Amino acid sequence: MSQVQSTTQTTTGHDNYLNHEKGLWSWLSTVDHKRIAIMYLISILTFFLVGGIFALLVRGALFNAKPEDKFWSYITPDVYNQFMSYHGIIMVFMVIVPGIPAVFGNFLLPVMLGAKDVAFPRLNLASYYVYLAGAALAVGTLFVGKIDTGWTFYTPYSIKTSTSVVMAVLAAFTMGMASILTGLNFIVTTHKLRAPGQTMNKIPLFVWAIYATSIIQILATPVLGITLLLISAERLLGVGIFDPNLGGDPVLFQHFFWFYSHPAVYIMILPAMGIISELISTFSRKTIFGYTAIAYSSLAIAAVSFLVWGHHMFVSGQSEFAGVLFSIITMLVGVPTAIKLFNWISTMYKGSVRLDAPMLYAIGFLFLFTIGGLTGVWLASTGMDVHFHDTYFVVAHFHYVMVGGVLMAFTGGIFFWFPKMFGKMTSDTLGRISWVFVFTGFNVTFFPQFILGAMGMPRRYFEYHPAYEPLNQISTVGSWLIGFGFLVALVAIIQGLVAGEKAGANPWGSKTLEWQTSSPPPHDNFPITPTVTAGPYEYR
Amino acid sequence: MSTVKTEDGHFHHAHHFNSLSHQYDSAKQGVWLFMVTEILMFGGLFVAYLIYKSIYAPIFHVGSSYLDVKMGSINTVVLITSSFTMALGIYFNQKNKPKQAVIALALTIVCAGIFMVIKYFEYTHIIHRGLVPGKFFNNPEFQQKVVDFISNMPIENLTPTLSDTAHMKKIAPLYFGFYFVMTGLHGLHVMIGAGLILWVLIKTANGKFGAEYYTPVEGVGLFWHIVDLIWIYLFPLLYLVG
Amino acid sequence: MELAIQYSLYIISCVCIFVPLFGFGIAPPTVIGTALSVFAGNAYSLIAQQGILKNFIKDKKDSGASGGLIPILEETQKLIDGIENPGTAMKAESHSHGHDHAEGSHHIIPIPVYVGVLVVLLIGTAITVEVAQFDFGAMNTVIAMLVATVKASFVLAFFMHLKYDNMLNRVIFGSGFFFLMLLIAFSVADIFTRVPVLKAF
Repeated sequence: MSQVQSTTQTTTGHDNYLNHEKGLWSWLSTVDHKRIAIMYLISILTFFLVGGIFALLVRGALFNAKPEDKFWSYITPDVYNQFMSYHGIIMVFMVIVPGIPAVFGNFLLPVMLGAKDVAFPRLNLASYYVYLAGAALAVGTLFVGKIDTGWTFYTPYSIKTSTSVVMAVLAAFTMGMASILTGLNFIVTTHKLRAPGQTMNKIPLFVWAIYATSIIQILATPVLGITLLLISAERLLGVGIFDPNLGGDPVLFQHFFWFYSHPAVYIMILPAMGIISELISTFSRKTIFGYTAIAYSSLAIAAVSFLVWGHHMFVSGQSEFAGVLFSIITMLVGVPTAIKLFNWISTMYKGSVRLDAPMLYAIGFLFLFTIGGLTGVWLASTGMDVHFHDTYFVVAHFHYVMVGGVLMAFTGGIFFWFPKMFGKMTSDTLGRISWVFVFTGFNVTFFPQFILGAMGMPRRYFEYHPAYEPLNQISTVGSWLIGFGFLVALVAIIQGLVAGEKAGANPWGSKTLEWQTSSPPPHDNFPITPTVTAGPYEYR
Repeated sequence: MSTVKTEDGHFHHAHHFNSLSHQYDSAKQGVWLFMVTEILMFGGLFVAYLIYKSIYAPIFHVGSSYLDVKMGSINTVVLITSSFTMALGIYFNQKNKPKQAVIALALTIVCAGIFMVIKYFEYTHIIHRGLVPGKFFNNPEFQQKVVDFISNMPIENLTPTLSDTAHMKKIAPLYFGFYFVMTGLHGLHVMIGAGLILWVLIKTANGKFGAEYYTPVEGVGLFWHIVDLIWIYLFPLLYLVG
Repeated sequence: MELAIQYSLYIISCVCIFVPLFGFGIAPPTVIGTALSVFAGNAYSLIAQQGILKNFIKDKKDSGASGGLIPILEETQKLIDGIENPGTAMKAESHSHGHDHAEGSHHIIPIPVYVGVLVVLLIGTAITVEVAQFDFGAMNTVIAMLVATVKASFVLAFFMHLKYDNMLNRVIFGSGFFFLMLLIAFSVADIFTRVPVLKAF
């Protein structure tokens, strides 16, 4: 039984959100959440390309150990610091944090809930422009004084450096503002705009994930806001709150910064997990195992994520007591995550699994995120972290969860919801080819980095000991494979847009509400407001 | 605006809501969520303040003696009154009395203005005495007072940080760093709030609100009350507990 | 019935996992507390907003049962109705019926109450200033914050309408405060165990 009692379905040549109004201005001034999602998609893919180019430059610079052998003499140690800072800033603030909520959350949340739009459509549009303004400021720093502090803006260096830190932190502040407004919108939408009959226990797990993410966004981002404002005050007025010479404590900056930034990584991963729930259930044609457990584990992860930020600071000078406290709680945050993983695997068991491109990405997620998550537990142990902190082990860990986790889910989501968003199918072959290159390339790039980190290679270093060179070279070659893989995915998307075969309302045979309306959806999402009578994953 | 008084005198709700009541509840929930972010943002400042106060208590004690408690108290009374008039502004809109609502909202703006004027005098007073953070600091008397205070403390209460008098002299301006950032950010919110109240006042005067629809007034009211709330905490912390 | 099993199984497994870890004393209670409060909140919302208790009572009555627990359950339901809707009779969070019913959020507070709150706040300000003249040592900050909190609760309850608002807005506001306390608690846990801190002059 599908979720809906009755609805009318039309597929071809109908009035949908894409042709509802024509002209550039109708897009730029739209309050339709679906169009806003598409605009976010274009922006985020663009920034992903830029951040990816910086990544390739960073890895290219690391191909050789000695400065005189590097492939491009323009890259001095200072320039390298800038490249790695921008790779981090762009990827974290402009791609992955907004990523899934802005694109898929915006497009799908109201449709999955059976609503006509988000709770505050004009605020939604405003969020987009605030995000663009922040992104413009961030890109502007490239011309005013390139940042070399790393994306974490640690004091005291960020106070002393002559680069345009104030502009960069204001950019991050602005993008944080967009994040808050989006989260606010989604929480009120989930509370207030559910279709008749849709209780909180019947909403799709993707909605649960976005809901938990939005809670984190509301609670964590303001503290980042004040931290960044304080950095600006420190630089402009010499307030002395983080500067030891003026009586401040640099570790306090780290406390405030990581109070946001650790929940931020859960902002990144929770929506990805939501997508995986949808993908695995649809492509196993089976009810998700343990719906309640997965839903509550999203909330549990959101809650516990606020208690663990000190695990980024084990060697920064915080007290032993704090170190032990954070270490124990960090180990506990793995429990809800593991619950989800076991439930996904249990969903696939005795299901009828179809290995289409989105499912490949989902399975890739399971494999890569497991490695990333487990290595996180190793890092949570204070004793091991003393050895691993600021080495490539940490770099490998977070890339496994962020790229192997979030980006795999993002790309899988794109291939999965492409028919819904554009009314056309992508080429499954191209999707699978891109997966092969991304998955293989990813492991070739980042698995050696675990070994490098264990061997002691420090991160953010331009010049390193020649003994590390062979593994670095393997890693760089891997980065080219990833780049190629995402290029193939881009080709698949463009080919789908231009020449994809027409898609029906429900090409994957899924049971959630968004598949019960036409592809692309009409302007108001549903011809008549649906009444929900069944759960979202009832395949049998 | 999504809800506009039409010729037939009725308000219409936005199409994705079921009713005006539905829209009102949702809007209110949205404003409350935003207020949570405001609390956490200012809260971060309070955390930093409390931590440094515990470490460098003498600086904060001597520093707060340089603030004018009378001016601060008057400001507190002014803000509390403005909260009252704001609540009245909402009340009169709920009762379909736009004229009285406009007066109440105007009084609120007047109170905000008084607050900023008093704040201006406080600021100039302090800045003229050179009590600014950073490189423009110029008040050796303050630094000396801190050192004197420490030397008068019983020796068993002294921590190693406090005993380093040269260092304490150098970092004394930290207190005023906090003062200006905290009251400055709050003052900025007062000004933004006054602007929002003006916007709502104009709409009330133009007859855009009534008993069925006064959501923006309520939302701005919530924001203004949060601004008042923050000052209720700021005032004792900065001015009184030294 | 299945709800009871679901809940009790989860709680039992939590306890079984965490009993060995109880030596540490901090994190397990936090996690259990969080889990329990989430479950309690969910149970409450199931009862208050989805009416499972109401449906249960109705089913029992329809099948002819009477006496025993039913009066107690009905009282509980009335109590919860009273909490959810001071001054109104029915509440449904789902929009399945589409009709517009008056909700507590439209409750109008009369002017005399506002004036009363204003007077209380002004007196509170006078108390704040007066109390600050005395030196309670390390308790200075605590007492000042307590007085401020009392004043703040009046602003929240009456000027900001929280007393007559629905539970969710109170939870939203409370959670903001709660997470702020977390930030304070853990930062202080680090700083105070590392830097010598003055307790009194």
